[in-house]
Amino acid sequence: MSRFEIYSPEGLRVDGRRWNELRSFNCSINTHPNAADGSSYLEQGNNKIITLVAGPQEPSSRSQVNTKQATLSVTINLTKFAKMERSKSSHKNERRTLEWQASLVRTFEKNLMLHLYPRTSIDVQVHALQLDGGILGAMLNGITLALIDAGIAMYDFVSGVSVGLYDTTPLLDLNSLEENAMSSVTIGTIGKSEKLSLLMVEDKVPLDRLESVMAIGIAGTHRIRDLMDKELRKHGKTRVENSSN
Amino acid sequence: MGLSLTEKSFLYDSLTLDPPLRPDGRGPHQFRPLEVSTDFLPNSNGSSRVILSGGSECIVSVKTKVVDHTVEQELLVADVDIQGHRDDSPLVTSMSSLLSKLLKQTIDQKKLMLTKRYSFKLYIDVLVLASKSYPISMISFAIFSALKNTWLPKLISNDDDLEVEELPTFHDYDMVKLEADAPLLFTFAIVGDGVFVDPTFEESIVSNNGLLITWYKDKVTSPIRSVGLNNDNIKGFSQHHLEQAFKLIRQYAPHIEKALDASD
Amino acid sequence: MATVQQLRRKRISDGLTVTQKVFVRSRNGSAQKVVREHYLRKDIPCLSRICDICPNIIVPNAAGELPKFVLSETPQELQGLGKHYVVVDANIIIQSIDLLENPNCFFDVIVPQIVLDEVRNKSYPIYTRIRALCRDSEDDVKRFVVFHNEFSEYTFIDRTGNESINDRNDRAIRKTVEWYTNHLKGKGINIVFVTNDRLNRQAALKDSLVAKSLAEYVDMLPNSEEIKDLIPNLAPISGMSSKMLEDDPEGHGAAKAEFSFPEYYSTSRIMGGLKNGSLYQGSIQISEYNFLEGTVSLPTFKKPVLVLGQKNLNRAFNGDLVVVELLPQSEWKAPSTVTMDSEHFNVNDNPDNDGEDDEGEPSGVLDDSGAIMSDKDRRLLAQSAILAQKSNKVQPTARVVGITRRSWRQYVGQITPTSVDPQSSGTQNVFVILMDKCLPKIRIRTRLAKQLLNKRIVISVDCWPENYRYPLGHFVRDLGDIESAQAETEALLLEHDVEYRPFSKKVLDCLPKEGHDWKAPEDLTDPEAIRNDPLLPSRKDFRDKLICSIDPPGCVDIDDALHAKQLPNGNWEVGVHIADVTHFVKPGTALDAEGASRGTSVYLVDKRIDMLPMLLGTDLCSLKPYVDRFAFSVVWELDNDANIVGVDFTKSVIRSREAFSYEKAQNRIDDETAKDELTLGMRALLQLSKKLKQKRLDAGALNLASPEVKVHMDSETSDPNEVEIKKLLDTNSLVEEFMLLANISVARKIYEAFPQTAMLRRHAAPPSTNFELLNEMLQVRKGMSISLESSKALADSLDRCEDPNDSYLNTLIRIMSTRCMMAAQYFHAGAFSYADFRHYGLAVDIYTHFTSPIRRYCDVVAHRQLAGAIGYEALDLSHRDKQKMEMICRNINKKHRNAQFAGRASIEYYVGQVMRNNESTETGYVIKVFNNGIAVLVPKFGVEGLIRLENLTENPQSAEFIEDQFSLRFVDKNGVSKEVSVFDKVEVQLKSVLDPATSKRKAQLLLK
Repeated sequence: MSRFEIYSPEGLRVDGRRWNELRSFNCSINTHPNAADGSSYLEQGNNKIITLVAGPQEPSSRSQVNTKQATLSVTINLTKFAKMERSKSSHKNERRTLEWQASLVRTFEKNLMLHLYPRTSIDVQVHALQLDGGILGAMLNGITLALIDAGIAMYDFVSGVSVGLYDTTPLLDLNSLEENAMSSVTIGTIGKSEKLSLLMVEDKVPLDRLESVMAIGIAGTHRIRDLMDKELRKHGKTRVENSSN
Repeated sequence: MGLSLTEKSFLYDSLTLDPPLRPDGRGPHQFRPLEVSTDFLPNSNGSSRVILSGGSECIVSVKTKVVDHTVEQELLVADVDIQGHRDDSPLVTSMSSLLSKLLKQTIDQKKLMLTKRYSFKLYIDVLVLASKSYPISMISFAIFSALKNTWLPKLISNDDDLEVEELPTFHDYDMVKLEADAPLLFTFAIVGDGVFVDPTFEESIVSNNGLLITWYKDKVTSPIRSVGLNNDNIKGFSQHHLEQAFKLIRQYAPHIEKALDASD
Repeated sequence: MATVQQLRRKRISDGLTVTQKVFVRSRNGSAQKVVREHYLRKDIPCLSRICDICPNIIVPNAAGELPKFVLSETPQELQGLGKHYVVVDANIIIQSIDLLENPNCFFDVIVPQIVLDEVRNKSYPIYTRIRALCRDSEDDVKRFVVFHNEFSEYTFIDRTGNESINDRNDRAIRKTVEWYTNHLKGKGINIVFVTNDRLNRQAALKDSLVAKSLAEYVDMLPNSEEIKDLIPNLAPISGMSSKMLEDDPEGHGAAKAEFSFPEYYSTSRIMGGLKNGSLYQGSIQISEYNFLEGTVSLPTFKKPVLVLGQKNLNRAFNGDLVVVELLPQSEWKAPSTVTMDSEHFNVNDNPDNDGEDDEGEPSGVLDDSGAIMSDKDRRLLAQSAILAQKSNKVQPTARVVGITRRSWRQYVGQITPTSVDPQSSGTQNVFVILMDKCLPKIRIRTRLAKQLLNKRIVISVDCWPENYRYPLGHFVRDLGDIESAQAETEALLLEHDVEYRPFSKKVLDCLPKEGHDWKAPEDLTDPEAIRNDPLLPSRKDFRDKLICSIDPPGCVDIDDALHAKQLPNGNWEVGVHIADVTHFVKPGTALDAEGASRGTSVYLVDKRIDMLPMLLGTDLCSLKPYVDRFAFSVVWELDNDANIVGVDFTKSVIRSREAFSYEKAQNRIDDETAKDELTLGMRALLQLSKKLKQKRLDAGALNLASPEVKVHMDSETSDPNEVEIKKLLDTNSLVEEFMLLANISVARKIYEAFPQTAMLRRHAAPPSTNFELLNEMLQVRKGMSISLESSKALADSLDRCEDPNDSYLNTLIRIMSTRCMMAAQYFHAGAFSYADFRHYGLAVDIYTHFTSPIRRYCDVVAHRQLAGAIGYEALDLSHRDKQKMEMICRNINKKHRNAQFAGRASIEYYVGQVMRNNESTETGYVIKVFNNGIAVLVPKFGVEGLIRLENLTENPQSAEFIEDQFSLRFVDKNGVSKEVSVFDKVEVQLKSVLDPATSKRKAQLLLK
């Protein structure tokens, strides 16, 4: 029995949000100008992630050279201190991490104009400093921002969020407490479209409910896209101002 | 990224001038601008982030766990993760073991004791996001300021539990500041007759040798060792290099300590 | 040094601010720093109908519904308070939930979220009750609302430096009171904060808020006289209520040093001890023969550990989850062979002098542990304890050092007349003896002591401070005169936690609008009917089958009907048709929730408490004869040896040709002149059932017995006038066999379709220790034994337990064996591995309940799952979710057990009433021998009673208890030396007496 009312009859969640509200979302780009070609820092709720992009650059080994397009790689580093309780293992070679890496590569391969950068590699590193549920969605957002900062051509934003199903109520953008209490789905959409670039269902979700879950998820990703867009424009404006001074 | 022979020789010459001229205009005792922030990871008991002007960056988290110290003697664990290096690479493993050993020697473990049976165990996790030069000095600064800003839960149960065991219980809100002094490590590049603190990547390349010196509780202490900052033109060094370095440290380390301590 | 992390608040959008909650969780000795986001908002409404601001800020929930404004614009008006709403704190809810539920007081109550959270953490059942009050507030009677003060920007407060969490929460409640006060200021509605915490009240008054203690508030009510007694009785020492202290002329609570229970250990000590194995946690069972003897079953020990004596029990109630510590070896004892009940214990205690130690037990016994025993020594002690359990005599004993969870609920009892001062007309302390004899008497304060004498009353336990010998409680409700049928029945239902209130309107609204006029459609292809019920075409029309039902006489809720027909190939088509309850009871409706919560119908001698409303149970679902009814059919093809050739499940429409009683059916089958097809079918069913039964018995199915009796009621006066043992006819077993077969077939089908969540029923093999005592008694007294190797061996060995001189002995042993068996339980398939699905008693690998959906909720779930399995209709989520199935199973297991106990208690009561009129001499059997008495079972009435040594002999000292022979030797009242042993057949004089101390009627037995 949970110690909390996960979703109270008054329609409030454990942290005080309503069913369709996002957590606080803060992002900035070009946070590590000297350490990487593109970088971003993202806080989605209590998730804190740093994304660094190196590239397009000469591949470190010959085997990575693709004459048609750039080779994209994603490395996820869930630090040992990121969860509430320190984890013993670095999660680097866990099956779940590898799966996530593969699906992130697949998602962005389709959305980047990789053919513009043949014979190069683009290496993305994601460092999660703090985790609080819905990390995969947050990583989508962080990578999108860092790639934009790196100036790599892409068709549109990819934005991600998780949605849970509590009884019959879909809940947007789960924190870890909620994530443990219900089954959830991570959704990544392209721009303002209804096109899904990523769908990850890790627990059982009844099919007849999936539609309502996706609808709220898509609406959520669109809002995140707008928040990222706003930050990018703000950043661009300050840069232009600074350079013109 | 290598330097051409001409570049190297120009750099070497300017560093051996009297007075020496460092490419960024620093004096031999001067550090590059350093940015330190602490307490930015609420999930951890202590955290700090050190960014050097060249883009090198290091994040340290301090977390705790309550352990039975009659069973588990290791109360300090330092774990280093350097981006771009495997966890089992020589750099990472040597750095982890050096730090663990050093912290065990310097941190008073009685300060971690809760009861006659239980103690806090500290996990000091180091993440080096980017490093252009030998990172140990930056890491030690980050650990120092993280430990200076570490808050531990406050015990409210009985602390005598040797005969009749009690599980420690803690105050639900109050935290106690950890009082621990961590050592600071300094790297010097030896170029000709001179020693230069906090060498840049380029300075390291032309150095004849490197020195690693520990500063703890107002004293120069062990480990003091030489480190190869590059793979060629290693030369021996003499006593006066050491003395020069010691002198610099004694003169400037207290200021650095103070600056790091006040950084919250 | 204390820190206050300055919590930063950040506005993230209009009306939404985020902040962080940081705290340390110390659980199992860990010290985990926890950080959580916490959002504050401006759209939390006050929910008062008088408010003209909040209706503009509200937003709909996920289902698009807007919050309902519940608090009245014209709330109760009181002298001195005016029109007002009430805000309560957590202690008021936890201690006085009955009072809050009372329909005559407490209207328009605001429960702050912080209070609700605390209630939830302290007592989940009370949380559910207060939530129910809020949910039902739309009926506009009580009007309770939850105000989420922690999420409201206006009422959330940060913790200040060195403020304890409790102080902070108290301040948060006051902040809520303040907000409401200001919010409704111009509307003429005041806010009254009711709390028994004096400091909190003072702080509220300082902020010019209105705060009252519960007693003060109740005093102001117009109907305070009737309500006052319902105020919980708290120890004055707790400082909760200064008012109560003033009301306490006897001044108890002061000068109480003489008697004291040992203090409970601190949480950290308990956690540490549990972790390192020097303390143990388990649920305590108080012996029904001796209320000062408890046992705690612990996984570490093969047998339960004994807890003896008042001080060692240390205020534990039967069923509490307790933490125990082993006593030194010198204090280990054999289980007591003495009987003792609370009603005869310290009968003359004065409830006002609770403190005096007149019980004779040296009070220092436990305090001599001055020498602290180390945990290491305790673990060594545990080793010897395990060894000691292997031998039989001395058993390790333990004492209770902490209570993890109380099993307290409302109890039924009666005031002991000796504790009432007939002179006093004011408030007095009196004792209440509870019906459950494993529990101590309760001390209550009441002004109605004299009026309540000879009444059955409901009381609630409030607390048991260590310097009180008896727990403190308060009066809740008067059920009526002792021995009045109505009071006794209600008492019985309450004691067994049976919900017996009429179905609510919400539930009744779920029934078909046509009511009794509902009819199954004539034509299953009629487009009109299909429009109403799109699933209609999937039903098979079985109205041509010759179906009949066989039930006990007078049965109105007919769950099942049968038919049999010979097929051209010589095999038999046999159909079992079960009432299609799930056609009417759809998941997620209030009707379904009510059924799930009741779990089962409860059958008392004179009353039936339905699980589903009458309209369904006795009419629309009931497979009455001569009318069309929907059914769920299982149709087999059986060969002549009753082997299953094929099975088919389908929803159907049937028309029963006849409703037989067992006896009538038997007569019809036996009537050789009857040659009609229906009778032929019934004969075939009987033949097949006999073969099925034989197969079952061959496989090792058990034939156990319980002393089932039936009470005949005088049809004119409804007085019970005769008791008979239930007769079993062939036709009983006819129906039973086919029901078993249907249940097994359905179990296989739903398990195949839902391997994780199928609703099943299992019966575990009994552990051999359960039979140890019985076997030893059999061995010593009769030279017989019961084998436990397998159910088959058990069945066979039971058959061999025959005494040629006493035909009843076999039944007696079966009765006693039944008591050693494990209880069967409902579970979902994911909870056990297939091997553990086994039903020991029936000797089948898988089993469920499918055949009585009108009266059991398990069957309702099984019906839905079967409908899902055959593709008739998609299975509801709640029956596909392991966690929800777990909840359902836990509830129906509990309700099923309670229903059985209630049924038995009802019979017991009525048997007592029958005996009251007929004093007689009957044959009884000794089933247990004690140091100071014997327990005797009288088969004719199915009653069991204790004969105390005092009633056996004039000279109790001369009696000799021969423990290893299970015998008691004594000189009877006529001076003849006698010896009685277990299994002896004895003649007893039986009469029903009213115990003068407790006003409880019970069978009194006297040896002839």
